[in-house]
Amino acid sequence: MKIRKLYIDPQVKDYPETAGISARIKAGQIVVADPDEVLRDIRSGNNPETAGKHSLFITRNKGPFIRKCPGTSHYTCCDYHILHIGAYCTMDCSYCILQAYFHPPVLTLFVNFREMTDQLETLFSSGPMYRTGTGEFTDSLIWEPVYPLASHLVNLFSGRDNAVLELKTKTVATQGLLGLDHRRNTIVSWSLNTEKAIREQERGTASLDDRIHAAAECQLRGYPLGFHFDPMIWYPGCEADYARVVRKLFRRIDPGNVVWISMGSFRFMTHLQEIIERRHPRSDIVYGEFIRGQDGKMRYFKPLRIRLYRALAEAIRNLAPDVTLYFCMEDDEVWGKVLGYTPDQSGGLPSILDASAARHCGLDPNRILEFPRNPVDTLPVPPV
Amino acid sequence: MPNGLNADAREMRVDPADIDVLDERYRVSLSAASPELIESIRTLGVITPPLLERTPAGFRIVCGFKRIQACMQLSLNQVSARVLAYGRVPEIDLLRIAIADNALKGGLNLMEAAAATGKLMARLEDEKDLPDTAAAAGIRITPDLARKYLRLQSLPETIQRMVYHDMTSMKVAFELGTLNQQDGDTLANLIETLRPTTSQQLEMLTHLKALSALQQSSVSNVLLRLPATPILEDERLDRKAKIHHLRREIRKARYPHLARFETAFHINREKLDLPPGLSLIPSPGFENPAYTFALEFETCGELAQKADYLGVLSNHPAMREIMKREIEDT
Repeated sequence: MKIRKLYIDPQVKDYPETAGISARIKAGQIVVADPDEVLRDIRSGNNPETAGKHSLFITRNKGPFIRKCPGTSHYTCCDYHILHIGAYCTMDCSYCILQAYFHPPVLTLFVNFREMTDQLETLFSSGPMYRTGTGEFTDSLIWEPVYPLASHLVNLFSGRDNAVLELKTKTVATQGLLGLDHRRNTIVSWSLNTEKAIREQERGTASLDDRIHAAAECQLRGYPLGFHFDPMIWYPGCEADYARVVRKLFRRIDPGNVVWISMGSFRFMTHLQEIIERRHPRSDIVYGEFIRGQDGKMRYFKPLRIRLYRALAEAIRNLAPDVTLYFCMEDDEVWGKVLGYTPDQSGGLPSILDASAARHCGLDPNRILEFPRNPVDTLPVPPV
Repeated sequence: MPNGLNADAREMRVDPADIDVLDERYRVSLSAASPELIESIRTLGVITPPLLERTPAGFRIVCGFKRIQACMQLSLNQVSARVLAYGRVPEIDLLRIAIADNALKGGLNLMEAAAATGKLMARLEDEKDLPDTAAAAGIRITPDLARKYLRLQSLPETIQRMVYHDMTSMKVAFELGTLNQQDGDTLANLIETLRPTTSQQLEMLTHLKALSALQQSSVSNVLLRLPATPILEDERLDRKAKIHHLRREIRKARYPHLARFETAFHINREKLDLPPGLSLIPSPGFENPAYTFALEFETCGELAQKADYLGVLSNHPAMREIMKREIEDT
């Protein structure tokens, strides 16, 4: 997606990072006195969600860089920490919650990296183990061709004994990562889906083959890997398609190098439906058999979700029986029926994931917090 | 100025043949003269004289379209009217008078308010003046409502007719308007025939549109694939039963797994043979695995009896089947 307008917050106009990014993006530059000017500009068109993908706002993150994923009520969350590097995405997945979460959504990149680094250092110096990722409000690697932020983060996390960074992406922009001394503190993760789902719902993303190829390259360079089948999309024949993805994946990827694989099915807040219908008129994704979940979001009818997860879990178990498999935002019934146990029976999901990260990334297992953990107050973040 | 209208309008007797009834620039009410109005004028005469504007060719109606129509149907040669001189009052003010005359008598229905809005907007230089101008005419129109009214007016006539006759809501009308002409007409006919409530209309419409997208087929074809026609033509079913069966078929097509699951649940619940006053309730959409028993009792004896029954239920094969919560493959 081409950036047509580059908005610059006057507070960061003299940052070297801003100059570097501006030089690489060939777009009209506007230094905005008031950030609301950007929002007004984006809102003024008929399709602000698309307009927001063609405009990049370079600014400071005035809030905390590190936030705890809030999850939602009634479903089990992985207790992940979000590293808030920017917002929105240049790719255009029909189901993306970011279309509805920001009002209006606009590509944003925070360049006060020094503050981010300071906050991370504080995090590293605190006791427990942290799984931290940048792929919550944006894709982790979309800005690599413009500014090597991910590389900076890989170096920053390298060698820590209580923190891992997860870079979550649908791109193949991994070139900059390959030669880094990561010391296995960075997990490079890909969101995976069936080829039909990628073709029909994930506009502008890398193909499945390319994602797997990029993962294989990272594996070759010693990076531990993660994969996220989320959102899984139900359609007739999807179970066989998901199993095919798994077979394709493990033809190239060593199961022993996979830190975790998550599963989650498409879920959405009701107001996203209107946006999807308007912006992605050829997508039929919102017409599945959805019911209102206990958190108010629309989810596939539970027995259907269980059927879908069982098919995927079975395919994964056949080829990678020891891989840590987990659900993003599901309840005990789903866990029990698909994986045969509930997170609490194994010390809680955060501890399961911490243990896997410790095992694969060489972290200190004594830093794993005991279950149950104390909730940490954080700023609001978009629902998973 | 409207304030000076009474002074300016002259009461006179006018031959209805001199009135250009096709000039509807000030017409707000869309209904025709009722038999009651015609009978009243036949026996009592016109009680409130219509307001006309003189034109080079005769007269045009400002207020009283139905009264004039009734007079013409009664073949009256003369009708009492109040007449304004040609061009004396600006068009926008005459329109405000016409709107106020209708709005203050019995209120405007949605289509009449939409028509009034369209006419006002056509005469205003600045759309921002619409709320105040409309308020002076006795109707409340916000900019958002004005947009909706204009959208309503752009809908096909069949849909506008349904709104006018209060057969559907503005929301359903807009949904119908997103369909192609054939689909819109098909559903409009269905609604006109069955007269479902607006929430039932919206539910059917939403499901049918989703099925249309999933099957990549028109709404009309989706309906053809359902047993809609046999339901509509089944003479043993009354209107409400037809609506019930049709909704059920549409829902089954829209949520095939959920519908099968629900059916299985209902069958198993029947097998439990629960006594009156004891009911088993699943969570909405079966999302929460917890089920609820609602137990009604009036005496301690009844409570004990039903509590005993609950104890037995946990071993009932149908109860075990319910608790499995498995989806069955077709």
